[in-house]
Amino acid sequence: MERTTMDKLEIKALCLSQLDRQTRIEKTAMAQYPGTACGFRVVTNNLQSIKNSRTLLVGSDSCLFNARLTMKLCSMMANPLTDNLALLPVTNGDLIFGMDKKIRSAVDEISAQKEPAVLFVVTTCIIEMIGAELDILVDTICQEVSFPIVVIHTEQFTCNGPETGLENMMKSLIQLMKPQPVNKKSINLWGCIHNPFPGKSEIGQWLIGNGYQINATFPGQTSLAQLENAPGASLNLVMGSYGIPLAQAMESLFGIPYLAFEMPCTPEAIGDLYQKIANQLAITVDLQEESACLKKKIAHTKKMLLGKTCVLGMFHGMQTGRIFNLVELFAQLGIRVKGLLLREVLDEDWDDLQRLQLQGIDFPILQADNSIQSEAFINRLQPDFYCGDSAEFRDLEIPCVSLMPVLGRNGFEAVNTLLQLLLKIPEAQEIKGYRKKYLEKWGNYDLS
Amino acid sequence: MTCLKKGFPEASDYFGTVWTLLGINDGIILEHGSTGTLSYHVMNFRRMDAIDLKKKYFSSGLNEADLVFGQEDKLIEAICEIDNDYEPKLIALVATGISQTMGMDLDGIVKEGQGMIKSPMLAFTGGGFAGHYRNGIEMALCQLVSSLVKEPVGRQKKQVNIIGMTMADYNYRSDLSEIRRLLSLLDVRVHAVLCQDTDVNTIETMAESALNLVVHDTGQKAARYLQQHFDMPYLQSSPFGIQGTVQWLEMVGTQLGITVNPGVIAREIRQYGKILSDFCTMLTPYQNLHVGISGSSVYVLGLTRILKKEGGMPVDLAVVKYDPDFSETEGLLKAWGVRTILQDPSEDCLSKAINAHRPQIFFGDSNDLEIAEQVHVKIHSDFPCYDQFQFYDQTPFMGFRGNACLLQTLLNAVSRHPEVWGL
Repeated sequence: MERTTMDKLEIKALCLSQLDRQTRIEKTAMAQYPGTACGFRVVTNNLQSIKNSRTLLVGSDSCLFNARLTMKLCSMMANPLTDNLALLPVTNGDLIFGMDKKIRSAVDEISAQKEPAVLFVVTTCIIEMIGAELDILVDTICQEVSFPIVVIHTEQFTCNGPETGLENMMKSLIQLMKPQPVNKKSINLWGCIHNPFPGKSEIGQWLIGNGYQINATFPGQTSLAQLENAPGASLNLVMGSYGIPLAQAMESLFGIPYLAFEMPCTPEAIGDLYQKIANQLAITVDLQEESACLKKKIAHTKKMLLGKTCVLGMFHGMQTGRIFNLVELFAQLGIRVKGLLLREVLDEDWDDLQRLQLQGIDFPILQADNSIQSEAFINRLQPDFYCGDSAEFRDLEIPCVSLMPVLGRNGFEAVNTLLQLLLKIPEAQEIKGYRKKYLEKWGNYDLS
Repeated sequence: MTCLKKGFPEASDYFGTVWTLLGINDGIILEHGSTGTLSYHVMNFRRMDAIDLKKKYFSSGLNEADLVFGQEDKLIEAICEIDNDYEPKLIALVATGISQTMGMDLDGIVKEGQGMIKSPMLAFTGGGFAGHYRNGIEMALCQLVSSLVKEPVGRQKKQVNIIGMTMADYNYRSDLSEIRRLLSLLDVRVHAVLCQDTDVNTIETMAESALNLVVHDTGQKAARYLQQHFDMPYLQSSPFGIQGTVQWLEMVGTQLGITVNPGVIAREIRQYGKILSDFCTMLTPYQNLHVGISGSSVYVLGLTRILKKEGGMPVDLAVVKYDPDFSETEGLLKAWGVRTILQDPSEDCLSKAINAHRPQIFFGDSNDLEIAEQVHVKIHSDFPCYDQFQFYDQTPFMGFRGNACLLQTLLNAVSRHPEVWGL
């Protein structure tokens, strides 16, 4: 364990060579900023894309106020989310006397306004803590209304991120599904986060091109009918580990096999993924042209970036994608990764990670839970650029390449997008350093 | 009665506490709760008003294990870490819904932990169960003055404090900037602003000022505390409109024993003292446009003064929110001829009132303006204001410049909606 003091902060980094399955990436601090996003937020945002659904949020005002505010802000984006939220704030009295009556009356009110196709009841920490038996209550209410009601538990305090909430959300969808005759040419796509239309992603289009029909998708734009018909698919493709509990439940209940994977980054790994899917579907795959084209682009990009150094962060606040395979891609580009910010090592990471260890590639890895420590870590390593989730690193004087545009894309398209981003290092970086240095020098100047 | 919130739920005391404490530059907030809340704030506060929480706001990251095995050690460790790494002048330990539900004794933590750290520490224990956010601001301001303000060494005759200006007040940066400028016309200096862009040392020494100016009602209790304990007079009033601003300056001058220079005021009026009738023509009879205003009592009264009392526009509908002295506000608005005055209406009620009055112009917060979908000219004038940035500090609605800025904003907005003339 390497310990260094940087701006008074103790940076507790771990080296790649020290990582094994028993090692945990230590927290960087007890006082956390900003901390991980919660399941409540991610679940709430994703549920808005189910057509004609309503989402009843039950929680403290701080959660509900923030949820509404986020939704308002999201309404000003490209692909704006529909605000289908109904908010039920928890009061002091509710903690003592329970919320059964209130929830029942909220459902009545929603029902009276305009019956939704489906109603999701989403909990927050406070509801989980008081142990409200929402599932039992909702089971009873369900008998009295004509639309399905699904409870999603999103307690942040039981985990260190949104994953549990997301898993619960995905798994809860099974309550909406109805047994269907299986269409062998039909596939569900689960877990393609940040893409409102997963069927239009590269993998979705490739499947369609091979005569398959995209059945149900989520996250992404969908409807109750699509979710009900999900058991009619012959395969569940799960792009992200949080979709696995749903796939497992569907396998056990409807006998649908699944194939789960995190997004690969090197041409070889992408080819392997397509081959794996093809094997599962018993079809042949020929992506030599795409692979060759990507390799050519990598070679071209390498000419521009050879010898550069970078610190790599996650694609997003939530752990997604094969991050160590991304390190391998960077090695192919001639970029030396000087450090990595990471929340955890996913099961699917170990093969990539061990390959890097065998090659003798080594660099420090820091828990990505606190942006202040992360920023100090990046500053200390002084790479040519930082590449990853950059929302909290606005003060860095080095260029930041945000990986957000890569999210929601998959296959060769995702890497092509990444290469474009790497070749277009953001401009107007020097002003940050100029401003910082000017204020440091003159900020305390005696104006009198 | 409806239990659902269609728009925004009322922000609780917890938000009020946090929005107040963020005004102390050398203080750090440590919130005892799960990280999800802070993660949400970081995104939303920045988008709302370019508020950067980095190195100002931390979460203890309360989790399930802490609830089972105890939270105190972890919290104290986080406190010590902040004390050591950032050396703040104040650590504000803020309760959340979770810590309050678990019955966490934050006052006890302060007593236990204070000896281990250099920074002073205060606990703010509302946790979201102590009322509206305005209560949270009021309580936080009272706690800050009662805990931090020291006996003054002397009194500065031409120095005042401003109390009750926080980031939860619409246009606070610009209004504050204008108030400072107005006071400089009297050669008066602003010492502490509770709570905006201030520091612990300034709060500690605020009893050295000669007068406290309460510009929003949330500051009244703190001002009363300072009056009782430090014999500091206070003046509760905000400068709106030309006449209103002159009167405000005269009141401040009287309190401080300063004569207002009429030449200076004349210069100001010449420069910023436009009135609505200056712009009215046969084709643009602005004084005939009907107005509705929603917001805090200070802003509703202030805008009504500019638009109706000094501008001659019919203000038919006034919606007053979170006003502890509503009857007084209502009396004033009635005296100025406002036809319908509502107090904290539900969203349905507000919608019905707007539809009944059909004003051509409506002032309110972002949510009100969304509700007022039939209204053609919508102008932001209250918090929350999530669809308009407010970080530039020279667009006040208070003071002489505020008078000019408000009229300019109004006229420009009307110009973009010529259809109002046909209504």
